[in-house]
Amino acid sequence: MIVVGLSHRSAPVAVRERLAVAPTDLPLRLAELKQRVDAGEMLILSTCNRVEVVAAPSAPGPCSDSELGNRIADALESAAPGVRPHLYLREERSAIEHLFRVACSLDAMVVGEPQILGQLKEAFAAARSAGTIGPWLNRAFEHAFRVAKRVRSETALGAGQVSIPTVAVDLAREIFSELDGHRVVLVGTGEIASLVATRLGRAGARLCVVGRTFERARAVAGAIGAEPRAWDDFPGLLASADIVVSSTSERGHVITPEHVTQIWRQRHGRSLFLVDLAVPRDVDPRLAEMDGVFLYNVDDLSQVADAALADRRHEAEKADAIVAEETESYMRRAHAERITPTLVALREHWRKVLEAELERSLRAEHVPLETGRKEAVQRATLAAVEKLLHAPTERLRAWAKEDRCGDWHTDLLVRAVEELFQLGEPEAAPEKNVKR
Amino acid sequence: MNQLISAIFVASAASYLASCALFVARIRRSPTTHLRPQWPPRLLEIGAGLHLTYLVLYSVVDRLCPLFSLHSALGIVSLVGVVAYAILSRGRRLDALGGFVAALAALFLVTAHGIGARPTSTGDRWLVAVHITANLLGGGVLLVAGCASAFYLWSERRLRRRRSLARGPRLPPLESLDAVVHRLLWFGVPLLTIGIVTGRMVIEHVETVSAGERVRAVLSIASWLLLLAVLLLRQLRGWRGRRPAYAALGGAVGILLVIALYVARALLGDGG
Repeated sequence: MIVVGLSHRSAPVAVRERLAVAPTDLPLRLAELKQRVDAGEMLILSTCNRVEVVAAPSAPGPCSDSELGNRIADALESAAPGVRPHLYLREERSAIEHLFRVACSLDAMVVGEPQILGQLKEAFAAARSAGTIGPWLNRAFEHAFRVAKRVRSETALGAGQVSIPTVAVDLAREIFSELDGHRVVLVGTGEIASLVATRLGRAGARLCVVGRTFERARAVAGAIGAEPRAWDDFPGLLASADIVVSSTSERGHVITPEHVTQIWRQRHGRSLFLVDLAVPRDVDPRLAEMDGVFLYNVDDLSQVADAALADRRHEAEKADAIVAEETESYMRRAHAERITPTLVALREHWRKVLEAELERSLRAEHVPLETGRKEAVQRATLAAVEKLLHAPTERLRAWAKEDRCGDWHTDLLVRAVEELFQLGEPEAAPEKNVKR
Repeated sequence: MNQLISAIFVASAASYLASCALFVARIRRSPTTHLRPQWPPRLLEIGAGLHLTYLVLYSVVDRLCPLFSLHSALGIVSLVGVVAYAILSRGRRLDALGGFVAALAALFLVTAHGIGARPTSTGDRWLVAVHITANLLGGGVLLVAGCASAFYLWSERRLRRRRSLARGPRLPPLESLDAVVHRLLWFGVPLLTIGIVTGRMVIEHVETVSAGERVRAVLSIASWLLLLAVLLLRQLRGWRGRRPAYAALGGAVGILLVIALYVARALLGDGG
């Protein structure tokens, strides 16, 4: 299996966007690329942080992976000229480890972000419906999903929020539980504040926007699905608000303890969450001391996000260990499975040879055997095959499992066995009766 | 029969402790493997069911009305707490509170087992029955309110410290805790009021009142006044937040001390 592609680590967004594939175009692009590069199996993963082609050759072998990788790289270069220097190629164990790391969100721009697993599953589903998934990719992806699940359950990699909008939503949930029906007032029209408000709105909160310029407030309100209100309405809105997100460009404080004290009686003691994203600050810091008021400015939110990020880095080390263990386990199993058809063919070959020899001997001796006796002789023949092949089979399996040199070593082993016993060749025609 | 009762006691205590351990596993930020959210409350309910069976069988064997034995009284208080939690936790994220309720129930169960059955007060049995019933129901409910207030203060303090939310246990949201405390006060304070009033009437029939009983009465009245003030101020002036949480916690601690005094007296051999 190979992975060819580029990500936020290897290419800037200007390069990544040239290769990006829209979900609707995915089946067509998959079919085109698979045919063009003559791959056995193929999947395209296209997200905002990476575009990767995961493929398996139609005939596995030491050279086929590299050749296929080069053909895919050529195809990508011709689709978006200039991307080649940014492309990376992972083969065999390295490709499996990379796939597991991507599924576990260890290779993400924000380590531990949960979206990548969903995107990977969507890409897999798309490739499956396009008919470009075969046994190799199926097994690798199913294993990758299991590894991601294990990492999620055995580490705290996804715990805590690491961006200002998500931290704000998390904090709001710590105060208000569900945000359904809670009122959010967006004061000012700053970009990050709008993002915070949008996230709160998605969580079920009712949004309204207040701005010094009503037209601007209306435009922002339209963009985020909020109700625009005039600046004069602000004191009344403060009385009914649960969350206030502020990001004006005022020089002084827009919300002071005096403002809040005036409306406090009307609030009946309900908690007030103030998110101050403005620099200079919009909310008087003395409000942080008021009972029932929770004030977070941009530094506080960044501090919470940074702490969560540091925690995730620590957890990423545990996740890396899991990925390494799972990669090892997958490779062992894959090598063992790769040799299985050869072993089956070997047993079948020996069985047929012995049966043919037995039949020939009996015919030559003109000794008709009773049915029961004949079956007993056949059973004995099979048992002899089993005994003769037991040790070589176990040895071959062990070599395949311990293959630390990559797929090519197992392939070499398979070819050697096939060559030695002429397993791939057509059966020789039964010889005429030979007098012994 | 005694062996059966002992087996039920052990099963009930084990269920409570297992429930507590699972609740703690759920609120810990470190990941838990395949722990279904319904397991801890189910175990708590199973523990409560076994506890109730244990109390009934114990009372039948001893031929003692559960109300007039400290052993059963402690069991009833913890059962009331479990029932209150089970009702209020529906649709709310209150795992931390569940862990505390389970631990408290196990503690009360084991303590009561250690005390054994001892008959309590004499006098007007109906009045005493009303007094004890109101106090047991009110006490159980208000202890849970105290736990919820403690969690409120913890969560509030953590939010003010502006640390990463990924660190430390997963505490219930402030609004949920506030709503739970308020409802429990609404239910518990009137019951405690009945308990206080009937207690005053019971004392009138008693010839001598010991120093211990005076301390218990003073503590009960002080706790009742504190909790009543919280309820009234919340109702009339919308008093919410840190200070009422401290007051509710203080009231619950007072009730816990009263129970502890009863237990201490029973253990010291002065009757139940």
